[in-house]
Amino acid sequence: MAQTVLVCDDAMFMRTMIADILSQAGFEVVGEAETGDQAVAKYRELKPDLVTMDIVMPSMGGIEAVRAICKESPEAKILMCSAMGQQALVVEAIQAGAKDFVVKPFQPSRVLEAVQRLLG
Amino acid sequence: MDLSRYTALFVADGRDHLKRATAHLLEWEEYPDRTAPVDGLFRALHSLKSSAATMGFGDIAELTHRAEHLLEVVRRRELSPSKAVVGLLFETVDVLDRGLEPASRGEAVPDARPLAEAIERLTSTAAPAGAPVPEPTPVPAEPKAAPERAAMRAVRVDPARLDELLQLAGELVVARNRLTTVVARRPDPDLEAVAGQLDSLIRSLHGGVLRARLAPITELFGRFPRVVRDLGAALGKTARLELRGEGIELDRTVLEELVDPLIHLLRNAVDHGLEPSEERVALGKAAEGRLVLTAERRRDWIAIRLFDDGRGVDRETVIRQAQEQGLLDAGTRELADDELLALLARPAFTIKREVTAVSGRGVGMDAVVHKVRSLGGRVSLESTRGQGTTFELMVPLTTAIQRVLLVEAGGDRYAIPSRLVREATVAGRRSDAMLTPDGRFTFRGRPVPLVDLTLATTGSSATTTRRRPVLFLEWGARDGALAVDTLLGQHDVLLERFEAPRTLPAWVSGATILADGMPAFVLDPTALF
Repeated sequence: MAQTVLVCDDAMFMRTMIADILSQAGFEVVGEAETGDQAVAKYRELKPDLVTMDIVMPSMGGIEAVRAICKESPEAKILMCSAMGQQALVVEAIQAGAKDFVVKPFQPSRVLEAVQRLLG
Repeated sequence: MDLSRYTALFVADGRDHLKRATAHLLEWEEYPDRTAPVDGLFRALHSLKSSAATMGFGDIAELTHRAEHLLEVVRRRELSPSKAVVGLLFETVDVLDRGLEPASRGEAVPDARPLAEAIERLTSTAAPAGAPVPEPTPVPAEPKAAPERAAMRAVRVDPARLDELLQLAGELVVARNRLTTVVARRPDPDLEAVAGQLDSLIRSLHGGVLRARLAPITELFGRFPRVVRDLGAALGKTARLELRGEGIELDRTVLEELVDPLIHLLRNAVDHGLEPSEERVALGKAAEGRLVLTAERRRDWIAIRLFDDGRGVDRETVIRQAQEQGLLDAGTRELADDELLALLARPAFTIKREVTAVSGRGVGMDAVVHKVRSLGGRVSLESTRGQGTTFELMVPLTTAIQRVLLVEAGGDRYAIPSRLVREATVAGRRSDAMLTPDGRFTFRGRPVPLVDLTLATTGSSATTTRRRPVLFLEWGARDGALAVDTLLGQHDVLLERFEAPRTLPAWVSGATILADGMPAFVLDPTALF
C-alpha cells in the first residue's frame, strides 16, 4: 500500500507542487492544510505516514503545529519546508520534533531524498 | 521537472496573495500601530516569494524579498511606518500584480528593478550602510485569527470553461424549445413524456451551471478602497469608502462588466461630489468624505448603490448649461432626479468645469448608463443639494438565459424580459385596463403612460389601441403600459450578447434566436417611456 502524506502550506501553488512531486513518486497525498490549526486537526484525523510543513502560515504557524502534533504523536514524521535563510527557525522546528527539512525553492530530487530517508 | 504546467496556478495564486496584501496595506495605513496587518502583509509577500523562486522568476522573487526586508526593518522599529514606506509597498503590490503575467512568460517584470532599488535606498536609511541584506525572520503566526479564508473545498476553474459550459447549456435550452415545438405538432404521449423529462433535466443543468458562475461581490468591491484612497491622494481630499452587502453573489461576467462603471462613479464622487476638507468643516460636515457602497439582492436583481455625502448635483448649473447647449427648453426651472440623470447621460452633454487630474471634462455618464443597460440593467439617481448623491445600478443576477414574453408588433417579433412584465391584459372600455377616447390609459383606475410598440418600431400603427393586448410593466419605482399586436407566450431564450452599436435605438438591449431558428430583438421597453 502506498505511503500517505499530509501537505501543509498556505500557498496553493506550493501545496499543488509538493503534492505532484510526491504523487509522481508513488506516495498518496491524503490531505492538505493551509493553516497550522488545520494541520493539527488533519493529522489527528488522517494519521499520515509523513507530513510536509511550511513554517510561515496564518492562524498558528508551522513550528507551533509541529509542537502540537508531536505532543500527541511523538512518532510523527514531519519534514519542514523553509525558505532560504530561516536556519534559526529550522533548528527550532527540529527541537520541536520535526525530523528533517528542505529549503525552498525546491528541487524535486531533494524533496524525494528527504522523504525517502524519513520513511526508509 | 517541467514547471511550465504550474504557471497558470502561480499567476492565480499570486493574485490571491496580492489581494490580501492590498487589504492588509489599507488596514495598516489606517492603523499604523497595529501589527496584525504587517504580519499578514509579510506572509502574503513571503508566499509569493517562495512560489516565484521555485518557478525561477527572479524579478518577482527579488522584489518581494526587498519588500520583506523593508517590512522587517519597520518591525524592528528601525524605521517608522511613514507614508513613504506604505507608498512604496502599494507600488510594489502594483508592480507585482502587473508583473505576474510577463514573469510567467519568462519576460522581465517592468519597473521591478528601479523599484527594488528605491526600496533598498529607503531601507538603508535605517540599516547600517553597506551591510549585507539579512534574510528577514518570519513572523510568528497570528494568534487564532478570524478565519481569513474559510476552509472550504474549492477548485479553480478557468472562467472561459464556465462560459463554454453556459453557452452549451444555453444551446440546450434553445434545442429543447425546438423539440417542444415539434412535439406539439405530433401528439404522442411517449414523446411528450421524454420531452418533459429532458425539459426538467435541462432546467436543472442550466441552474447548476449558473450557480457555478456566481462569484462573491467582494471580488468586485475589494479593489475599490484602494481606488478611493489613490483618488483622494491625487486630489488632496480625504475620503473613506465603506462596503456593505459583501455576502452577495453575482454572475462572474456581470461582475467584470461592472468594474469600469463603478470606478467611473467613484471617481466622479470623489472629484466632483466631495467638497475639499476645509469646505466640509466650514459646512459642519466631517472633514473626511464618506462614500458607502452597498449591494443588496432583490428577487432576480442585485441593487448596487453608491452614496457620497458631498455637495450633491448642482441642478441650477446643469439646467443653465443644458439650456445653453440647446438640450433643454429655456423655460425649465426644475429637474426631477430621473430627468437629471437622462440629461447627464446624454453623450452630447458636457458640464464645463475645471479639468482635474483624475476626471476629464464631463466624462461619460453615458458610458455608465450604456454599459449597465447592455447588461439588462438600469441606473437611477437621487441627489440632494448639500447632502449628497446616490447612484443605484440594478443588474440582473445573471444574464445569459432570460425568460421572455414574446410579442408581435408591426409584423416583427420582439422578446421582452419577463421580469419587467407585471401583467398582461387586453385594453378595453370596461376592463381594468381602460382606454379613454382621447388615448389616455388607466390601469385599475390609475393613469399609466402608454406606448404603442407598433407605432414606436414602425412609425405607424394601423390598428387602434382598443382591444389590443397591453403589457403592464414595472421597473424600479416606475411603470408603464405597452400595447402590442399579439402575445406569443413565454419562452426561455439564450441572449446573444453584443455591444449594441450606438446607432441602434436605446430600446434594443440584445438579440436572440427563437425556437424556429429566426432571430429577434430583445427589447428594453423602459427606454420607450
